[in-house]
Amino acid sequence: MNIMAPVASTSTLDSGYLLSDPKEDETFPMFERRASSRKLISKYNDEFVLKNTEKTYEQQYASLYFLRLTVLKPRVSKVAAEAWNGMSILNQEVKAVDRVLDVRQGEFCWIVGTVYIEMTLKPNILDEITKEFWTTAPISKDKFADPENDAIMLEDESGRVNLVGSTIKSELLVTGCVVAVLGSETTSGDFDVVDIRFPQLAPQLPRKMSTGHERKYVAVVSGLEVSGDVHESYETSMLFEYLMGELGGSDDSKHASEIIHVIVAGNSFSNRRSPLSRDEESPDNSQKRKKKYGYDSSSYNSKPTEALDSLLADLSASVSVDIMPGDQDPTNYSYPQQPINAALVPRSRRFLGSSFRSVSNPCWWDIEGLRILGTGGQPIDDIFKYIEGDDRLQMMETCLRWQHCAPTAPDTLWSYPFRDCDPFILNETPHLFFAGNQPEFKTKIVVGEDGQRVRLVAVPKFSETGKVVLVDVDSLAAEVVTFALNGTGRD
Amino acid sequence: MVNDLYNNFLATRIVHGQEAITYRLLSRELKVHTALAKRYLFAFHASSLSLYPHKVHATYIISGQKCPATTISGDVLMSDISSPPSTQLDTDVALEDEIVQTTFELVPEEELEEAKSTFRKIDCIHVYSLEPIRLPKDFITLAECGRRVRDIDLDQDPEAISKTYGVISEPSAKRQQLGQVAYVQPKSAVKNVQPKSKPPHPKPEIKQELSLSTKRRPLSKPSSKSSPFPVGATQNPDRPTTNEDETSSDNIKKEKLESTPPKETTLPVMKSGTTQSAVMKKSKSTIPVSRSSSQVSQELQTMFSSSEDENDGDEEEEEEEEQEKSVTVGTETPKDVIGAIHESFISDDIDLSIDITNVKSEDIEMETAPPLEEPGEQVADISPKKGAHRRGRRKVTKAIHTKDANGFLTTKYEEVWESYSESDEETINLSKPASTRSSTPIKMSSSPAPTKEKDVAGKKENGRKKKQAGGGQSSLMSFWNK
Repeated sequence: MNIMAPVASTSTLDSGYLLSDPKEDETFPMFERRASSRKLISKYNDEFVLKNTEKTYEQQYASLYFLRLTVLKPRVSKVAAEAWNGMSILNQEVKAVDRVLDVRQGEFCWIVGTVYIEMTLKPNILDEITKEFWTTAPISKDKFADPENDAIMLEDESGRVNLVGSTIKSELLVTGCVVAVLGSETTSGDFDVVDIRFPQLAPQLPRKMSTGHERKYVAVVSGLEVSGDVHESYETSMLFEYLMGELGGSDDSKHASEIIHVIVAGNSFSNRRSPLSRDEESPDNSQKRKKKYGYDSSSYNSKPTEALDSLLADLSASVSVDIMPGDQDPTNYSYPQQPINAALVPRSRRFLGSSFRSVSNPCWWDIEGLRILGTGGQPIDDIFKYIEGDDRLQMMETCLRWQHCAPTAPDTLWSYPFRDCDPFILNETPHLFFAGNQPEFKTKIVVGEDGQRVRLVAVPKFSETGKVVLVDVDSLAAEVVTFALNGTGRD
Repeated sequence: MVNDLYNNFLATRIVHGQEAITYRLLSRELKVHTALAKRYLFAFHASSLSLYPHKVHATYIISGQKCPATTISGDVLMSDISSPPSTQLDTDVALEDEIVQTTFELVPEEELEEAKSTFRKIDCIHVYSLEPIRLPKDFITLAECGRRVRDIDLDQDPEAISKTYGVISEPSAKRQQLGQVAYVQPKSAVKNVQPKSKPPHPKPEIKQELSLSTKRRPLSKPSSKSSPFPVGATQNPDRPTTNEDETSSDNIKKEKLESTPPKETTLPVMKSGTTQSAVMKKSKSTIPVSRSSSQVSQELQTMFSSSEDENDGDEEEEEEEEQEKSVTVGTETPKDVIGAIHESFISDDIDLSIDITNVKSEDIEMETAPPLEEPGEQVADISPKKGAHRRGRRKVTKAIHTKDANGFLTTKYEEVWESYSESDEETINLSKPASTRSSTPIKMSSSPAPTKEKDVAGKKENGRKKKQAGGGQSSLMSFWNK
């Protein structure tokens, strides 16, 4: 890695070529984006977008766990069998046991089930209700993991068994992932784990590399948090100018024209309330304000929506854009989030069907053969709360190895009670897996056992970092473009 | 002279008007390429040093790669690279995983030299804006310029914007007219394209409909006839297209325009306001229409088109050839139409490079009717807009009693299109709760469980009763006032 070596300038123009007098009849290069296919993978996305007529909440969540186990059990059994079949510990051959409760003491065997971690610090609705009767304020924590006191269990259709042992403590596990564990039952009825296996990376579709020399990029930005305020951060405007090819010189424009698709991944609307509404909230006013349709419409701040809409409409004229909701966006809160209704962005809506699209969270894309799985970051943020450690990329990688992109759903990540399938199960490994609204930019390439290569990207919040991530469709190389205002103190 | 033009403009706005001008705003105001606008700003700034000393301040943009030491603190990867590979990065992977980091920094002229020194490699520097005094730290004054630029751009064609200002053009971007947004079809509806006969509709506002259609589309083949409608009219975004809102049960999608010739850029995208329409279908036989109506049908046909995935390019050409001769039919099942209403505004399963259109069929028998009247009748919407109520056509299951050959009275349930509006529906509900009770189970046949039907039917009746108790008041407010 030799980043300090002088980089050869590919520009044929001097960096100051725009700092010169205008010449008569000078023509400037016009750039056009390549026509490319930017599809949504409907077989996965259709399961995320729930039809209003078919949504029902009468069922329990147990069916979701059952479906998860049914689908992932054979996969992890296969991996476990390859690893452990024929192995013998203490002159005893290990064998597979079908049901967790069928484990016999002293026998070395392996079992498959869903992990359940009993967490003492996990927010419990009953505790919250009892706390209401006490005056102590609840302490808000970032993490609810307590390694000394948390009990890890393995559960399947028959029952549960406690997992103990040093192996299990060092492994990254959350409630809801399906694993196979090798070990034996102790005298106290716990299962002493010797080894553990995940389903590992799902098969990946081969990529058809394009033969052309033109580069193609997918741009991912998240956490725009457009507020429409007077004090809106100007970097957002700079970002859109860059994507449209106006900012910078012709090399910058050329590079921007290689971006064939832009994904706005979550939290595009700002959550902050405008100062105006705060003034109006004096107690005298609140009673006098008329309540129509059950809420007071004058307290609605339309500025974020209008500002974002005008930015997106401008951008849609120049590049195809997908907007994905985040946890602060005006759509449902539970996972999977439904696409933001395009009626909220009327100007951009005029590009619906051509270069503007509203997608669900999570979402699968197929852009010029590159299979992309993107989330607004909620599953990763949720996993973060329940494990030790800060490595977001490791969490993302482990999700791929669990073949499940949101294992904590529905336990701690609110989810729809799916009845027919668990749509978060990964039946294939994408080429690019990104999570938006992460605290900082991180990326790496993960290589699977069968040669799968995935680019993991933790996309940072634009409102905090001013970064947008570009991923090369053919080579999976990642680039970051940062927008900064001099003198804002961010440096 | 051009020089004077921009000089005068900038002098007026900055020195006298005390406004900030960005390169984008300048390019929109003078209708020049943004690069040229950047040069104009530079030249004016240079000349202002003598002409208007201390009255013009410049803000620059530097693009390039920053030196690692001064990289923004949140950039973890850089620090990882400079230190030995940490556990989070596989050693092999790290070696090949070079992340190119570009930065765009907005600096006032006072800080320019200092900022330049923080860059390891500078790709470009240009003037971003000129203003009377130095901008505040967060550059918020420039936001106003941005807003004005967006307002100017709003009504322009994306292609025109690209050509004039140098914005990167996106071939598939098509801005639709207000009130004519493409109704994106769920994939289930796409597959059903069977001919379906429909009863004739009462006379709509034909003229309005036709004039709308012509205004939207500049005729690619200007007709030699004199036309009551302007040929090649540009889009009229403020035209009240109230009766073309998506209140009717219509699903029309945008045609694929990526591969079409440039003249198609102003081709109007599908609007959903019309209930019946003439549709071009490449495989369908075309019914010859007399020449007098060909112009009308041209307009109408260009509004709608259906396409298959791969052959859109060919189809477009075919369409143009056929335009003057024929009117074709396309179809979809009514059930999909209702589904589409429920799925409004949500686009799923859309390949941006593929268009799927879905249109209603028209009765073939109607072709023989007076040509000018007929397409309009089928195309335009029935009733004028009644406030914000849904209106248009809806599919209703009707029992049709017929006597068959043996003299038996048989009842057939047929789904027919009927016009309705929400307000009418409410009054109907109020007046005949009993009679509609029988029809609700059939209507609700799409719901998942049998129990649900009764629940919904029950709720409907409760709602009706409530309304009845409220003295026939059909306003929503009564619900919340309770």
